[in-house]
Amino acid sequence: MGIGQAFGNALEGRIEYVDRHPNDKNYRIVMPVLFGDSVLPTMCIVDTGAPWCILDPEEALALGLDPNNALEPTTIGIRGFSYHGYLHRVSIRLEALEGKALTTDATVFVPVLGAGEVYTYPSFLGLQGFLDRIRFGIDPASNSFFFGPL
Amino acid sequence: MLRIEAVEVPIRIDEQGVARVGKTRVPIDTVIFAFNRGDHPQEIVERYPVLKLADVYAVIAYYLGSQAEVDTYLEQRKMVEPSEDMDEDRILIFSTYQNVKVGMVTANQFGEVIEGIDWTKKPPELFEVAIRYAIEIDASVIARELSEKGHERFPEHKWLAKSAQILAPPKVVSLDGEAKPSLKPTIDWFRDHADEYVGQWVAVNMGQLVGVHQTRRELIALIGEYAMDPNTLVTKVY
Repeated sequence: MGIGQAFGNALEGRIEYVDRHPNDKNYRIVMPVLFGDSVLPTMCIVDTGAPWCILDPEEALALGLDPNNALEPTTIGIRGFSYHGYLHRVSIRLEALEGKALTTDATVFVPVLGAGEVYTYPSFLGLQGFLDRIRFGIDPASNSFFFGPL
Repeated sequence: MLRIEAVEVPIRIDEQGVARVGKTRVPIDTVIFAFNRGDHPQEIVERYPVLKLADVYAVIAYYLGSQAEVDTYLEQRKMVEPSEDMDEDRILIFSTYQNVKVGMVTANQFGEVIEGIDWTKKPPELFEVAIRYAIEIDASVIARELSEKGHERFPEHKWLAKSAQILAPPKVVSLDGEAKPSLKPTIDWFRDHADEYVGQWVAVNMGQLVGVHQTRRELIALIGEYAMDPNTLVTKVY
């Protein structure tokens, strides 16, 4: 099998990404994604180093995620800081500019914040629980993120 | 005349020994954790709408009246301290977990310990403890595999069923969503203008900024019909 043939026509959607959030000193893949039943896409960082997908608590609040259906409070590290929160099962839709949007059912960590506390990180799409079960390819020449099912 | 009656503490202990608020599945850990971080009871209820405000106040009142006892319970829940009657595997899992937390060993070594245990003879409680520890040290693959294995062995165990469902490998649900080329100008807007709105929530529709606010909730109230339009990107700028 030649290089690239493994993907064949399996990458069925394409979205353009922005290569960083303004405050981020490193290049990233930042692209619009839909969580749960929301109709409003939000920007999310693709992070193959993140153990879980992480959803901004304000987004999670808007989705009305029920802690009764989540794994009880646990603590995980996000960029060196510990956050207390729940693990939920949430649908995530990768929006497409061309081709087809792809919806998955994935594990998502939602931090629980104290009064006055602000979540200072974006939402993330992690490798475990999301990217490890889809095909994806990146073309930095056109800032394109291609994706499709396995 | 005002009748004064004792208020029943709205805490129940479920079949796994977890203390939960009222008739909900919310563990008291959640309320007490939020309270200790300074949350007002009203804020706790807003975050967990299944809770009743009166129940949250009552749980906090109970906590303040029995703090040492409740703190001990919470510590036990968190750490599951080894005791004399705890079997060797449990002590090994616990001590390895503790060593990962303080950086003495890696999560991979925790995984080796888990792999070295004959799980065919272990009770569901040990699965649960190991899964909780694996999550806390970001050993997500171990947590997933143990959840699958535990649920397979104990299909009636509610916590293991839930963990297997939540930690299961992601599944592609559909690949038939229509493309939205209309997002292109919005992505371009984010690339060109997001740096003007760091720390704020923005709403952008067809490449036009339609609202800015410090919170998402206020932003949604502000943008009116755009909040119903799937072409509207609502995001925080970092």
